[in-house]
Amino acid sequence: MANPFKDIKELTRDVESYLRKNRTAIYNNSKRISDFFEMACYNNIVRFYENNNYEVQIKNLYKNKFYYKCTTAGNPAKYSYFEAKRKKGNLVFISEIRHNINVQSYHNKDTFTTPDICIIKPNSIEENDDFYDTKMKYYYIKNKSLISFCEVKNFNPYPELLFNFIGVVNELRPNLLSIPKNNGKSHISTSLMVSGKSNRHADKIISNLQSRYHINILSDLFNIGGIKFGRHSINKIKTV
Amino acid sequence: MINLFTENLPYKLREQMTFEYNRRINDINFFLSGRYDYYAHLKKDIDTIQLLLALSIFYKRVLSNFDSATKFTSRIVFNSEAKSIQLGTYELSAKEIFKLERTVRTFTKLMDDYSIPIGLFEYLETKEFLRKIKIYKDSLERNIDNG
Repeated sequence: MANPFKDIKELTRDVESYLRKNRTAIYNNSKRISDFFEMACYNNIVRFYENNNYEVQIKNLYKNKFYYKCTTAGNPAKYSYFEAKRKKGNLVFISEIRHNINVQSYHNKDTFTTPDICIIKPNSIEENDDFYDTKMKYYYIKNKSLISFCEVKNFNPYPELLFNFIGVVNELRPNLLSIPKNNGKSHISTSLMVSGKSNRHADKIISNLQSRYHINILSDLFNIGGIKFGRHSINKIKTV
Repeated sequence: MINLFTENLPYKLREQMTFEYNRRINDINFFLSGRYDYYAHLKKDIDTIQLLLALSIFYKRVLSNFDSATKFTSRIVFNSEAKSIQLGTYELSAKEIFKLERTVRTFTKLMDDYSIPIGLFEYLETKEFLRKIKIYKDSLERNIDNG
């Protein structure tokens, strides 16, 4: 078997050949790397609901295409999303897992922010004609329609990133900034999902924030995203 | 060495990869400079270490993202009526997904051919990478001696 320490010239030649043959696919897709990471996180949230006995369905396909909402602008009605449904006796609980939805602040009715992934109550999209100076409409959900949200960051975790997330939690879900006596088990709690691996200092901050607040900070998702949302480790994720 | 991987990449990504590579090469040169006996015998393998470092950065920053994307897109395209995913003006079809998967699979196969474990590319600190290289090289030499 070839050995990279002895066959370095052959390995270099084969790597060059690999890069040459796959040049187009690598170049075209490397422009969308951040979108790809968000997609992977979106997929993990859907897996969380599937592993929690929800029936998950894709909604709002258009001409057999899944329309992925890449930006904060645009009418959510024109984009695809997932619907999570669970039966409890005669009752059916439905929620929507959506992407890039504007959410009203908990503290003010006229300020908004846009988490990457939101779990929201069904049919809760509102329209506002006064938000822009032009005739363009602004689409958002009221804060009471928000069930949970996740922020996705394609970085290594660093102190400012972690502390900034607490600011967003304070704006949208301030009740999570204290540990609840009884928390629900139906939905994933508000989470920060980070691609990179944390160093020792960031680990300390993550552990500290997670012990103080009812949130999840999930790092190293490039390597172990699949494991964290798997059937066996899902119990470690905080819920609401 | 990193130029081999970055010459066809978008500017921002190329810059990030080059920055990481240069920073880690400085660390590696420091560890191999003779101050540490533990790494001393790796000095003659600097060319291989440079190539493995460049491969690891390419894998982490480019290919692992492709791999993540295929998991989501496969769910949509193979488990529903959807035939593709529309990302702004770009359409990610089953054919494109197959190309992405093939790019990752061919890379993994190439690493297999040279007995390079993908686990070698999972590290945070450069010291951790170098330690893995040392253990990996020792294991390859043991296998040759045994066999």
